[in-house]
Amino acid sequence: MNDSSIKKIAFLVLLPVLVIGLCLTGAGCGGGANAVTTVTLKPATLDSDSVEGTTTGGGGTPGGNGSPETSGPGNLVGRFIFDGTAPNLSPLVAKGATVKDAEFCSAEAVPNQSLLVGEGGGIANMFIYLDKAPKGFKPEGGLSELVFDQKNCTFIPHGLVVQVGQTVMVKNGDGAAHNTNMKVIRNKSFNQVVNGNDRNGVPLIYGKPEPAPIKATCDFHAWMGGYHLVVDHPFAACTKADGTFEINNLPAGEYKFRVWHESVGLLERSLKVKIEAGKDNKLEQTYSVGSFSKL
Amino acid sequence: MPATDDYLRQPQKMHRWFLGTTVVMFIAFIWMTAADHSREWKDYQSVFFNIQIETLEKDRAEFSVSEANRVIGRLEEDLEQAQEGIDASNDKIDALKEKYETAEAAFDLMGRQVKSTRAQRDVARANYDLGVRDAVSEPDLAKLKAIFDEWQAKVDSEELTLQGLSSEVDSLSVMLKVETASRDKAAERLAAVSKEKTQQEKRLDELSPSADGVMGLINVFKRKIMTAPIVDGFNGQLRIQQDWLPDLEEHLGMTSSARFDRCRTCHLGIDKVAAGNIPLYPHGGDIEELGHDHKKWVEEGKFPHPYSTHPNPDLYLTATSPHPTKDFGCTICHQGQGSGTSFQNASHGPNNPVQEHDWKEEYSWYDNHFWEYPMMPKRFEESQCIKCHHNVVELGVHPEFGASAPKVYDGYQLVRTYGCFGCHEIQGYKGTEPIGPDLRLEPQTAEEAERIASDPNQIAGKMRKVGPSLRYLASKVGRGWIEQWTENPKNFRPSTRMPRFFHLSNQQDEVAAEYQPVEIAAITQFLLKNSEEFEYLEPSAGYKPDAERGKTLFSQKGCLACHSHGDFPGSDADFGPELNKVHAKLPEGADGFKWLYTWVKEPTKYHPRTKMPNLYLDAYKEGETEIDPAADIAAYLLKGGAEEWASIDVDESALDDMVELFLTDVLTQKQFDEFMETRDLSLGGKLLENNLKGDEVELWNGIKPEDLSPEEWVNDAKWKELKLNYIGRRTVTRYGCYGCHDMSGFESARPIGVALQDWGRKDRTKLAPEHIEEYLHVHEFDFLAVPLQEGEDVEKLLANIDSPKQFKDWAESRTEDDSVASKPFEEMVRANERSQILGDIVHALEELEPNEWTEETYEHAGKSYLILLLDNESMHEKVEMYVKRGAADSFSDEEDREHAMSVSYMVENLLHHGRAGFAWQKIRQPRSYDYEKVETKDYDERLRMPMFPFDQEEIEAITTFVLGLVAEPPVEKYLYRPDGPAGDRIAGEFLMQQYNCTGCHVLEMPKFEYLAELDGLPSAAPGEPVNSAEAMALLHSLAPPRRVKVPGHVTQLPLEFSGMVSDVIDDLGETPEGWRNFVEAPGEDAEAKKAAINWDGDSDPAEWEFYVTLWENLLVERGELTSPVYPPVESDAEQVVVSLADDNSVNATVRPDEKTGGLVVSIVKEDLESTLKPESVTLTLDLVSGTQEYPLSAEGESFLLKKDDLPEGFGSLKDFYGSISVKFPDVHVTPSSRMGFVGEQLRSAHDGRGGDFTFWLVDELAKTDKRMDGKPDNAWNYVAPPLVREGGKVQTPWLFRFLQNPETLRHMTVLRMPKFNMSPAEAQTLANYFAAVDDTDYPYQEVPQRDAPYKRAMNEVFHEKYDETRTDDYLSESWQMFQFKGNKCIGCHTVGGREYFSSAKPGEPEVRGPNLPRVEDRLQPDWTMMWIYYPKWATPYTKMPVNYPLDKPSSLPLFGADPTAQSRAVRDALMNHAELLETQGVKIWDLPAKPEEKTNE
Repeated sequence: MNDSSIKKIAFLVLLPVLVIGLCLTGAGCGGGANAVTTVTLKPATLDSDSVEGTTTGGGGTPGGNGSPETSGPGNLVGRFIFDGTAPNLSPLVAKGATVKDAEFCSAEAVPNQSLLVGEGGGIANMFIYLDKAPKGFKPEGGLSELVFDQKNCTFIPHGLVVQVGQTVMVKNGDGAAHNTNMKVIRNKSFNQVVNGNDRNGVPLIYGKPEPAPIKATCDFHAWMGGYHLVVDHPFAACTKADGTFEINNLPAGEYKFRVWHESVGLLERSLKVKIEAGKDNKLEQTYSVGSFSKL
Repeated sequence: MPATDDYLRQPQKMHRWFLGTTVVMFIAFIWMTAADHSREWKDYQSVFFNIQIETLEKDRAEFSVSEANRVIGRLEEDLEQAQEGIDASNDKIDALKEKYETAEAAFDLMGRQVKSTRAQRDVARANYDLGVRDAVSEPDLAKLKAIFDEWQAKVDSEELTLQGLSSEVDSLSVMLKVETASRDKAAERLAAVSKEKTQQEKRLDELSPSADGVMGLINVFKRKIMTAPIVDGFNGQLRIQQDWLPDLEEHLGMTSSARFDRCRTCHLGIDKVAAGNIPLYPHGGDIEELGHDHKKWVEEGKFPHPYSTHPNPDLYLTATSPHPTKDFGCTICHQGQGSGTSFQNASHGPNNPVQEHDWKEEYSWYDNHFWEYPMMPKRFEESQCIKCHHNVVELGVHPEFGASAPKVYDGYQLVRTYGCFGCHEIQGYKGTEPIGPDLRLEPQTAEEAERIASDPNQIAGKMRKVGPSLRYLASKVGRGWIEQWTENPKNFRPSTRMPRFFHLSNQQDEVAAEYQPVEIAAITQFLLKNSEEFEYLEPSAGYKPDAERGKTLFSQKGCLACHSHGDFPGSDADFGPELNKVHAKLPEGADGFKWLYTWVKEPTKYHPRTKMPNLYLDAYKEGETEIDPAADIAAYLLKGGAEEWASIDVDESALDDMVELFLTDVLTQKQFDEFMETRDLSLGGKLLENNLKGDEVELWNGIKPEDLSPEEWVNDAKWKELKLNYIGRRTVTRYGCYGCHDMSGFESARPIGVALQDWGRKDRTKLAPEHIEEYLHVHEFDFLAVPLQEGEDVEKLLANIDSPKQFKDWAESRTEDDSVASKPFEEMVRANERSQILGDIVHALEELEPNEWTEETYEHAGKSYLILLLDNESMHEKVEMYVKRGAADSFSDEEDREHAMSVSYMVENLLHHGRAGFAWQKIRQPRSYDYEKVETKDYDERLRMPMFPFDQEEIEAITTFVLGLVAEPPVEKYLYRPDGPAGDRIAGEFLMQQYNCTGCHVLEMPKFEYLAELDGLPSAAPGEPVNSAEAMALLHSLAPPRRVKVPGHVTQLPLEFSGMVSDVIDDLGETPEGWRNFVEAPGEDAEAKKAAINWDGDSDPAEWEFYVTLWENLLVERGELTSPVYPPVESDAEQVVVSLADDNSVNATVRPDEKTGGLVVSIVKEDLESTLKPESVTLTLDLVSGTQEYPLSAEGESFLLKKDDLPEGFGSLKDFYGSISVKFPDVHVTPSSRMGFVGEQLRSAHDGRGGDFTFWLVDELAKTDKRMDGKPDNAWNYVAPPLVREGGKVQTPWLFRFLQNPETLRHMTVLRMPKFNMSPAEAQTLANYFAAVDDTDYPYQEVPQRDAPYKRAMNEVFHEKYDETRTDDYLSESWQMFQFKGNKCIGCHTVGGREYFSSAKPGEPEVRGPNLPRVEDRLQPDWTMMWIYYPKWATPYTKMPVNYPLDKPSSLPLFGADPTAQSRAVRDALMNHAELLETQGVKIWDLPAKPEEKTNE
């Protein structure tokens, strides 16, 4: 434990004592029955940048640096909906087309996933995330291994949320080799060949969070594309085919989320969401055709 | 009467005379001695000695305040104690000593005895030998033998005794030493510590003896005596310092003598440097600034002349530099009179009139006309470099010294670019002996070239004419255009380099007004008439050029690497002409198109010696559409449409006057009149044809009047044409147009100007300044400009202004308005002196009478300016004003001051008939030397030098170059004409500039410097083989690391590296617009940078994250910190604190470990938040028995030496005599690492070398081409590759062939390597250049992988390691690497007999690499190996993946799944590709079964 964290704890411990002290001497605080609140520290405290105000009662805790215990974190459950007629994008590679490694690559049509609208207008592959790990947040260890597969010359899944330090096994289900080339910004370059039918995979571990989802390409099959969102916290999601997503265990508070889609970039720079403790907080956003005009 | 003394003289009178003269002589003697004794240089030397004494005193003061004195005291105590200990056991020692002495004496005695016995024995042996020789009887011989044996036995026994004695002495000596060991050690330690102190004192004593003690007094007295007059001649302390340079002769009139330089007599500190060539007495300014107090100089470390050290000792004076004093002296570079020992006699050269004035006051300086070689003023000092550096190039670009003489290099480049040598030949050889830079036109015809080549006494020139060819001019432009261009080229293209020949100052009279239009029209007529038939190329029939597509092609195919165009504001190349208005000059319609199409497609058709390359703009098909890029580009450039150019209506009487003027030189007036009458130049056969061989041929058509009817005979139109042709030809000859342009019929014409090869020594009396002084008295203009706001009415503004004064007042009043500042005007004028200002405005000025004024409006960069032109000043007065301001130091900035001083110097120099001033005025206003002389000259005698658009700085650079042309080279050994790699680099640099290679190719990546946290430097990327010794060795040899040495405790340092910006992101993760400005803004401070770029976006540039891809191999060597000599402590000390760094910021604390009884060492850095993490800590103990090293083991954050490991007898910290070394881990950053930092950390960024167009194109493609995904890193795959480390990459012979005939290599690039108009020799030179730069062996490079021994060895290993039973060999197995199904290489390359399969439609992304069959001829094996191991080490942006990561077994079963062996096999198969394809052919091969899938999903 370093000096600054010691100071921080000392501060957090001393402040209520000071408040209590002040109150006991009758200076301010109104001296009501609620004047004294029992405060315990939470393991994961939140950054004042991401959290605006806390749902606490009395006490006068320092903003963001340790809100009093409430009835636990809440979840964010939401959906992104497309307003308009879903575009009918022709496949990147038609079935049976004469392309490189056709026996794998055009065995099935390779869909154009740059804007996938599912049933009921849900937009798939939308990323929603907090841009920074809340301050003081300590990632839990033991992250499960993810798989980033390549089959029929398509990345599976198309969008993947990865945490820093989490192992992604890059696999290949095609008989032909793929070279998976991540267009990283902050991380070390990754451009390796994954041999045909390599079911063990090549491990990919990110050391730093990326500012936005990064593109995965295969230079052998230049149409292939997928996205990794690399974050250093678990508060991020990629929507499923029906446009839904879930972010769990968010400490209560108000957040600014970013929403990103591959055909536009940032759709939302700070989408405000209030999380109430112990609840499934609902979010439903609708985007018109115009939002995807860059497409 | 006998003659007595009295008879001849009166003794008394004589005595008086005698007395008188004696007194006078004595006084004269005293006076002479005094005068001789008091010499300027002695004062300088005395001051310099004082400086040295001060410096030593300062060092000593610093020394004594440090620990040293305490340490010495403490050691002296130790010594005393040890001595006391010895004294205590004195008896024992005395006894030992006595024994020792006795033993030693016995040993000596015995030794002597043994010697004598040996001699006796030798006698006996000799006697025996003589007996054998004389064949004495057997018994006698036996007797002799017995005698010998006896002596031998004696020798043996005595030697034995001696040995015993010797070992006794030795052991006693050791015993004695042991007894006194502690004292001796203490004494040794003391001596070591006091050494520095003693040495300093000794040095000081040499300079100024201290008066301590009797000896001291004697020394001081001796020193005093030695400085006395006369005595000081006998090896006194003050003496003349002389450098004798017998090889660098000085030419004095008709003789030469060895050079003696005595400059160091006064400039004593000039070559004094500390280790590492650091100047000991750095120059810090003039004596006026620094004051006369030398103590202050020493304190501040700033010294004035003549005491200071020469700048840049790496390059000059020091023994390790290329110009050591003992070989070069001073005057060979600086000139001046080397033998002079006073300021005046040395012929110092003032740099400007202000300095001249100061020198006159201070040193009574005057311009000594009698010394031919006065010192070059600072502004021209570089001129002398080219005496030895005839290639000049190395003075501007040098791998070690950079631009060591940038000004003379600039001058050389200007002469090269503007083609001065077209008229003024600069002959670099006398026969074949080099005499200076060689700038001559190349042979113009094949015959001439052959003649020179076959003459061993001649060397051909190598410069091309700088202008375009006029041989087929009629096909390109029309009459009106040529006329207006000839009249004033800037009229059509302000940025042109073509000078102006007309409307100059000697063409302002009526005669010129009459003749000039005739000359212009005549030149045009002659050129058109002389033009040859041109064969056009045409696109395929029916092809419809697409101008829009042409625009894209124009931007991508490389045109912008040399040309600029207004449609692409980011590109500003000026190697070729700017092309904005090219449509306006070409003929309308199909003719113009055809010409441009031909020119773009095959430039050499129009101009065989053009530098414009063939860009391979051949037609191709995209799907079904045919695309002819040349046609599209031509259509794009012609989009603006042709313009009408009115032509001159020639006044026939003026034409006749001119014909008369010229023809009467050849004909008599009577003949001329007859000719005009008959129009027959043969005058009815009276003149023979061969009398009219000059320009008159134009008037001679060879037909006689009597052969034709009067109607058929020369009609009026034809007559006029003939006359115009004649005047045209005369004018072309007179102005020497062929010096720059290739023209039919002028192939063997000689340059018209004065040759310049020895102009630097031109006899000053032969310069003809004549009326120039008067001219400068009455001529000089000034101008004032006011920026106008949009829509302002100039007439209204000027309504109330009647005089320059009012204009000035008005201008000043407007400057209060913040939109108008007078400063930008000044800058604009200065920056644009080369553009229209000098072209048009000066013209207007020249028509002004003194004190007249006029105003003009002028457009610049989209802004209008109102300019007031005044001709109310004289240059003379202006210079007076400059000098006054210079003396008062009242210039607003350094640039202004330098400009004014430069002008003042030149004017003063001109008025003193100097060469520099003459050249300056000649270049600046070439015709001004005709001032008031046109009245007495014929029109054809007037000066002809045209006006070039040079500014003051450029004129000074050219002058510097010309002054260095002295045609008197020093002896051979001084000429810098390196051969081998250094020579190839120079020759290559020359060609690089000739062909503008750097327009497209990056030769050096841009450099960045940021404040780096050493702990935060990037480590290896996944798959990067940093743990493979083999791969790392390759990397280090192919990309030798840039080593940064930092003291180990430094955790943060400004780190410089070269690379390219890959990403810049703001806090939203998006690339902010304007980041480039932030990078390029000068300064280190982020706030200042922000202010400089005037950023008004949302995000904070100081927080922008920059990711720069490293293009080099970086090794931060954090080195070792070692404490100084042990610090003895007081006996009761609990811990020892050892200072590790000079600044005491890092200490090691040593204390006994309570638990184990050993020693604990911890390393503490004062100002550091985190602890330092040394790699290892070593304790070195200085024991009585010797020095011992003890490595410590890490114990948490400290380091421990266990008690058991401690030396015997180590009691307490008091015994701790030792030092501590701490080693910190090196940080290795491999190429392609992303250096990430925020804007705040960015210190500086510098352009690399070359590739301006490519950087532009990368940005452009990233923005416009969808395939790039908006990423510059992607776009780099589509443009001209950087040539960083090219020499280590490609095989030199291949590069030679490629330059000659560039094949398609990269299939993805949007442009192709063009074919340059170069000779095989030039291609060879360039190929060698790259090999030389990268220190590669050349011209022959081995590919051992193709040789039998290599293959045999690999085969053996292969069978032994993998399968002994197999019959196939190593290479055929390697071939399989390309042959299995799903093969990786085939994904992007043509290889192994299988062609690359492309399925992408045009415009869709596709990744295709070069065809691999050519690898064996193209790439070097080592480089190829590194490339396969980790491609990004060579080219960080490449799309080539890591195919065989070395850190884990390969999934391919070949070669035991060993990735290293597989990589090597791929390389070896590539190096034998042709052979394998032939012997093995294509065999598709199935991979063995798939491995099982992992089950933990």
